[in-house]
Amino acid sequence: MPRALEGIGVGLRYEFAHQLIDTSRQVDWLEIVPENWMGAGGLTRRLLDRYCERWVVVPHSISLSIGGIDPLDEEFLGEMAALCRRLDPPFWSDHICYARIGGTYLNDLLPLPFTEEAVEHTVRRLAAVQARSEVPLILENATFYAHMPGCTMDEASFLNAILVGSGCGMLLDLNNVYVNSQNHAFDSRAFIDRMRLERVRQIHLAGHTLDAAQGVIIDTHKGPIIDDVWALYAYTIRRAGRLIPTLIEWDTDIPALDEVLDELDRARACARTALAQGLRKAS
Amino acid sequence: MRLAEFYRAMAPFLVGQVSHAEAVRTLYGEPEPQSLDARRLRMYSRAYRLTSVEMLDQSHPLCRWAVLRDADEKRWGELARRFFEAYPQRDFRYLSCVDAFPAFLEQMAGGLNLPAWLPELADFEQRMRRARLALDHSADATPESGPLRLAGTVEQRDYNYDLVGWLEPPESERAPAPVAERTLVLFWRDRDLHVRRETIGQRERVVLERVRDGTPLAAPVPPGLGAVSDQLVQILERLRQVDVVLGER
Repeated sequence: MPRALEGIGVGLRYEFAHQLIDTSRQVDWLEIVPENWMGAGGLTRRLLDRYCERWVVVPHSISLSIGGIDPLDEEFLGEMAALCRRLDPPFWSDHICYARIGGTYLNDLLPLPFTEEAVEHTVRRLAAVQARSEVPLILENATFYAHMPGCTMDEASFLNAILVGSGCGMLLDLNNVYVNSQNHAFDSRAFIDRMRLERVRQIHLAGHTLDAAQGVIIDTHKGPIIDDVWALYAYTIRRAGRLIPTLIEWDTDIPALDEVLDELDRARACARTALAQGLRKAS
Repeated sequence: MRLAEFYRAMAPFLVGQVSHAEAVRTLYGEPEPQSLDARRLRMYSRAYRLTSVEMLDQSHPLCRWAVLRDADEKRWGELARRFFEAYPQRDFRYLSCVDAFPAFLEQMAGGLNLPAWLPELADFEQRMRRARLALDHSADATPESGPLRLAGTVEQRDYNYDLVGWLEPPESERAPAPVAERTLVLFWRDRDLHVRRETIGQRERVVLERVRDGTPLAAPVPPGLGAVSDQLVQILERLRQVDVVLGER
């Protein structure tokens, strides 16, 4: 029986991997990029075992390529299944995107065209993955810098169609919502209003970078989370009426561990305040 | 546009085989990139180039250091581009995808005016990584018991340059190039799971071969080695102490 996921976690990164294991600060759970841990022995494996003793560890993969046209990578699914048996997580997650074409992994989370055909294709593949996975898969909304050609719906409709059509849970990345809203001029709160928050099993929060030359915000997971994203987080938690398990991602120019963990404390405080405000409003 | 057509157009663009302008014509039907979406499409092929470089940065930091001593980031980037063009990433475990890097450098044979010892340095970095990440061998968990054997992670490599000696001093004091000298390097993981490397001699090689093949140490040694059995016993003992050789005494 998997342990329940609660509270505020952090994305495990090599830069603080050894330090984190002994921290006395509050970290409720961890997320790992499984591709970095699959097939590894030695100290790497031992470290992961130690994390599992202390925390719930959730795999967050980048190679599923659920919207891709290549056949599903059986070896990847096999390794994922083995890792899930070892970690016993409540679920694993990947992204609504493609990451592989013609057998080549592209190391990117590439946007799909927002079309009915892409919805049907993705839902079909999701069913195939869920059927063979012992642990539920949930999917994250990704960033997109350009609309792919032929879009017949907006992003919110596209995500909802996939999630409803497949019965899949959602990992709601609020930084991605914010980045997309800025890059494509839509209202991020209106977007949240359209999400089925009862399906959201996890939230991601992260920093980002403005590329002034190109006039676009890039999802770099760099730097502290900005106030607008915190405000969107508070809004989402208030609307959901519960503390959705939340994860802080910091992947670029990673500072001292304490600075990363300060963001966890801030998320905890932000969620607590948002829930209290929600209760006051309701009464 | 059907999904199959979309992927047919995107695939060559993403890996840099088709220009941005050509991809925009096919995908968006614009003679030149005009719309915001068409202009921003360029970001995706740029991202592929950058992540390719990052993969080599992470897997071969010493090679990167060596190339950047004599050249700029452009040459390193060009090397990454050519490598992933020749060896596209077929494995989701990204470190497996750079296994062919030493062979690729060998094939380049001066194509980018690279140091002659770079393929060996790339191989050296890979052996270190393999020793670090290799799956645990169940027999290594009980190093003092069982038959005499080599630890599961032991690898020996012949090099034409003294890479171990070259890497010994701190980076700021490192010589511009390793000394050209035939060396035999041993890579392994000790019982605390730390990665070790060491330059060894022909006598150590004989001991390792005999342990591996189950040949008695007292068997006659090859002519010219000048070692007597006592010395081989001492070498065996030392290799035991550092967890290269395991098993009952």
